Amino acid sequence: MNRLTLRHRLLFLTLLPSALIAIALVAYFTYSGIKTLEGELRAKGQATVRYLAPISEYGIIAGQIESLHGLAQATVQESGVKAAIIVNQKGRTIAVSGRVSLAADQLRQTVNSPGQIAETEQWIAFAAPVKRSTSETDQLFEGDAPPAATPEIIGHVFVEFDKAELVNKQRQLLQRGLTIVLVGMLLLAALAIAMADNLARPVMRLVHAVHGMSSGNLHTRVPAVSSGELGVLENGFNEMATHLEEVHHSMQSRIEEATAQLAFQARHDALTGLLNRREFEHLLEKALAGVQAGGDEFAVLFLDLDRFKQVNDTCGYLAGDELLRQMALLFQGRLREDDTLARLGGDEFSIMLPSCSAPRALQVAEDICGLAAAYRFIWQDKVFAIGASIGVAAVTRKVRNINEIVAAADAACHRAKESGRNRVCEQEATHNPDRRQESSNWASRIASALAEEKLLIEALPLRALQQATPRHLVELTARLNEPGQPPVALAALTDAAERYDLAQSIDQRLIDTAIAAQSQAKRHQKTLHCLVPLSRASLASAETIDYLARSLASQNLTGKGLCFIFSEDALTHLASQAMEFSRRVRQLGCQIGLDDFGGGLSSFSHLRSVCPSYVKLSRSLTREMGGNRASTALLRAVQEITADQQIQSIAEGVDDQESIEQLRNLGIDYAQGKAVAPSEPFEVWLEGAVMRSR
Amino acid sequence: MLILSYKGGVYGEFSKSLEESLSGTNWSVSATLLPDSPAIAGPPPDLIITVGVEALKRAWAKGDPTPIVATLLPKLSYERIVTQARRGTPKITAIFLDQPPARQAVFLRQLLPGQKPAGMLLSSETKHLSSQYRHAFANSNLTLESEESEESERSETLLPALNALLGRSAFLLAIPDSTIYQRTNIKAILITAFRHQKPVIGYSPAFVNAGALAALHTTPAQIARQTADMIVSNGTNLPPPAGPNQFAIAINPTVAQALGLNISDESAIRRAMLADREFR
Repeated sequence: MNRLTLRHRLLFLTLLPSALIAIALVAYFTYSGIKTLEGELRAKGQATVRYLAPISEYGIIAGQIESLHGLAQATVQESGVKAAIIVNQKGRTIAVSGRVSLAADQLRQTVNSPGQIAETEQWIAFAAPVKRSTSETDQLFEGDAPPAATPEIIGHVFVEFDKAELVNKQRQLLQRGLTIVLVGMLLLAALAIAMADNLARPVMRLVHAVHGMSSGNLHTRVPAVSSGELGVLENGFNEMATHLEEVHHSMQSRIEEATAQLAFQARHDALTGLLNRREFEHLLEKALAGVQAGGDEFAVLFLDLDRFKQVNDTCGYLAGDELLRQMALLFQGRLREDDTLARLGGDEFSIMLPSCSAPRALQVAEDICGLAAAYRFIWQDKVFAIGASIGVAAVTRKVRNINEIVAAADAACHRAKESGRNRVCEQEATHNPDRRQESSNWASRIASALAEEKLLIEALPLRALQQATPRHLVELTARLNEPGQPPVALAALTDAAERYDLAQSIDQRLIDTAIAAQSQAKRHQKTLHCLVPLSRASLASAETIDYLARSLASQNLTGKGLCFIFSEDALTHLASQAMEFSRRVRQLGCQIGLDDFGGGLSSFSHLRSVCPSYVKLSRSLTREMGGNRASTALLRAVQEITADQQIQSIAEGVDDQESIEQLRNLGIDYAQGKAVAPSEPFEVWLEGAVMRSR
Repeated sequence: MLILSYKGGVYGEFSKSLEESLSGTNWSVSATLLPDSPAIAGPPPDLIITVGVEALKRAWAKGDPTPIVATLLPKLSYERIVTQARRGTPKITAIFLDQPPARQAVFLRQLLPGQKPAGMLLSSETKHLSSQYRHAFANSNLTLESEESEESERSETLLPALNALLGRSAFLLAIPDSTIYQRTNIKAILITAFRHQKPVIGYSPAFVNAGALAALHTTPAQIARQTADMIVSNGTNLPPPAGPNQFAIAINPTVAQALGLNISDESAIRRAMLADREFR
């Protein structure tokens, strides 16, 4: 019952009782009808013999066979009478009509009162005695004749009735009953179905509507035509549906907005609004497909900002973000409309130049590089010089997939960075699958380099320009030498190492080398001055000082021969740490040097705060020396100032003898570069230059 | 002493009528019912009057020497009882119910004038009466056709005889004959006669009620009076048995109508009969 639908239940409830009642009624009436028919037949049979008997009396008495025959025939004429037999007192048949079924001995029996004497399936027989009727006579004349006690039976009448008619009638009755039941049931069923439908339809509509709603058809409504509770339900459903639909629509529009936003965000960089890496790679795929289909070749520029991390670390990420935005605007302003600028992540940008040949791409890259170099980022009271290392990859039809392009451009960019930043390198996009992967995995590379001694410490010897000195002055630098890879310069290495917090390890390696060299020099009574470049992480950490102090103490050395160099911008952005560091280093007897001195305007203020013993002049000061009078004047001014403060000045990257002379004339104290001595492994240099000198 | 065959009915009527008739005389009536007859208190009666056949049978069988007057019985029954052997023969007489043939003839002439052949069914017991009737009828200008029926209590022989008789006669005259006119036969006889469209003349009012056209009879009261007269005039000196002096007539007008007969009423016929007699 519980598994039936509402309609079925209604049908069941309506049909079952009425069907039962109808069947019971019809069965009862049919049964009683059948019984009545049977009773009628019996009554008729009784009546027939009852009437036939007296009227046969005289015929029997008088032996009037013809009249008895007539009677029998007349009886047989009656409907349903099969046979009529009249027998006399001796049981001899004296009149018969119709087909007799009674046996002879049955005809001979004595019957005392009218009644049924036999019955079979086909017929039923009745019999009555024919009694001699007596009439009232005068007793006086009776004489001695005994008064008759019971009337004498002088014969019998038998009447057989055919039951076929009865059976027929009964069958008809039954058929009629069944027909009535059937018709009644059909009517009832139709009525019940109509009723059930009428009741169930609104509910079914509601059910369908609920299904519709649940399957997402929010505009589903039910016609509110019912009255009563169903009407309330329908209206309630419609209101609910309307509400749901409204909510759904507003949700939908919000979702669409959010989706659009997400889609935009998925394709764009949130910070700069430029395309992101994924979208850029997608564009690359399309462009590459175009090239492979015979379209114009194009070029891809990978652009890594120099000194971005310094901005970020010094002034916080807000400044970094601002810088990225400004740079994005700067680059965008210089590009054609067709060109695509994307931010790949961090301080890496990429530019796709469609329909652009390799020379033209180089030109654009140089242009942008210059733009970046000339740009000054100002944050609060601080000014930063920004540069860009740019890798160029021209895409030809030979390129098979974008990984080759990306790898080439990336590699070129790295080369630019490693070879001193703020420059442009080009690399053809070729099939070289290993490259990108290996070059990008800095963390493990540096870690394994430190562990496996692949970090090559080199010496950059300095030459005193003004007066000969017995002491040896050398700057330590490091280079990552891996088999099958181009060597990585310290600047690039530190940049990468700082990202993975490995810079201090490199610095410690340098310090160890320097202390070991000091110890060795002391044993040989040589004077050795080591200039050790330190990363900003070491500058900001107190551990560096502790490590230094421990190392010196263990070798029983003073820090006299050590000079720690850090870059001017480190000093700018970590001023207080730098001053504290300088103070403590000086307590150990060490000295301080400034790198890249004169590149920024604030250089001079550091002279007072840090009191360096050495300054390495910025290449921008020394590069155009000679030809450019303004540069020369600036160099001279710097020299004068440092000299005044008894600070030794060092010019780096001096590649020719002529420059040495010029620097000597300007009063620069030291020179460093290929013109002085090529860089060589520190150990080699130490053995050759220091130990064997006299 | 009065012995009644049965209680009530005609016997009661007779008893009452007899007592009335004998009141004022020196005769007193002591009635007793048949089963009590042996126990009669008091002095033996001077005379026994039996009413009905059974009463006579018992009184006769008892063998008392008291003279007996048998009443209300057919002549045939009386003769049958009296001829039976008996110790001692007391004086006995009877007043029969049977109408004398002459009266019957007069009655028939008045009832059905012009209808000549009268039919009578006779049994072995009554066939000796045919000559008396034939004679009486001849005086009244009637002829008699008769048919004898052996074993007349059986309708197989009775009805064919009746049919034969009715074919020849104008009507059937029934006389008291217990072998023919039984209560089981009367209906068949009446129907047969009716089939023949012939009237039946019976001998009692019951016969008329059953469907006979008419009957000449004597009522018990009349017989009682005749008995009383006889006792008063003769005492115990009994006269020979005789028929009834008085008579009554019963007519069934329905039957008359059914047969299409125009019958005078009872009193008219009675007057005519008395006139006829006186005329004689």
